[in-house]
Amino acid sequence: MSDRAFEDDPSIADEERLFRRIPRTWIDWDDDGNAAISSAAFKDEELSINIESVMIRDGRPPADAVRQYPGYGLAAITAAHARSLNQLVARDPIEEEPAHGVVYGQKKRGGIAGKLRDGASWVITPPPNG
Amino acid sequence: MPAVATAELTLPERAILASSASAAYLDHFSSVDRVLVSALQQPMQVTRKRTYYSRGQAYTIEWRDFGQPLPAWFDPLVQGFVDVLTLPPNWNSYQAGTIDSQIVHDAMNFINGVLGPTSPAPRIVPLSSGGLQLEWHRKSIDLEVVFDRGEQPFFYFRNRVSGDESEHPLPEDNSLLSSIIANLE
Repeated sequence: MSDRAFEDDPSIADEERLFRRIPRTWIDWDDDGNAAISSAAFKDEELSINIESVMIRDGRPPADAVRQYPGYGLAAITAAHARSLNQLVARDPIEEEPAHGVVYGQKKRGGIAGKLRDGASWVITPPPNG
Repeated sequence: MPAVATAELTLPERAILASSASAAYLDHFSSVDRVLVSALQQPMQVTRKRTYYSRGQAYTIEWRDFGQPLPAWFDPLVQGFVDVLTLPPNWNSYQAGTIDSQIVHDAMNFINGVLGPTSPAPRIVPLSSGGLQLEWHRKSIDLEVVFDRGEQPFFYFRNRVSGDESEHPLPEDNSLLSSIIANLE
């Protein structure tokens, strides 16, 4: 785990969408084919996300976040939702992903990860047998 | 049958159910069948073995019991554990490492002693940190049992209707966990 410290970035608007890749092992499909995300997808203290406005600035559609990851889903939460759960939202561009950001804070206890998950919506829903 | 690249069986995995499964079923066997077995026809333990496949690897689990039918949760549970054991590095695309085999071992032994013969099977879900959690989402209840590196196991309970939620350390609150699982049947 990183020891980096993050501060909440007010230039990231509350309505900003934050994308998180979801591998199949974090998805449970019901009998009707509906995909439910495990809270495990949102438990990292330093949770990597893509900031939508940076992708738009660079002319990239949301699907570009999973372009190299066939079979993955893509979920979105808003910055406001993360902040409502005492999380910090920060930019963290890296060489391979200029839109990379972090939702930083304790998530393992108090059901925080599950509540982050409850506020997530699918941007790209993976097929059950994909 | 899937192709098997490697036949892998470590001593801890072999021992997963060797003691606890026998203990868990002994009482059930005794209560149900005791009257049918005469003093001269004591139940005999037998060695049992099952093999599970995941991502080109095979895991064989061996244990001793009385040959009784396995509960419905047995195969999906063990398959779930094997599936997280075989996850490659970076399985989540965010540089997650492999799942800690000792944590898998501990979780298997623990849950084997908690589930009853008719308990619903949990989903086995890997954590980026190398741990795992067992999940049930039934009857408006969310139940997660978390095993993670360097942390005491615990479970999280939430009633989605009432909004009640709580966390409990394990093994201290084993009996509470067992009663919650029993209510999910």
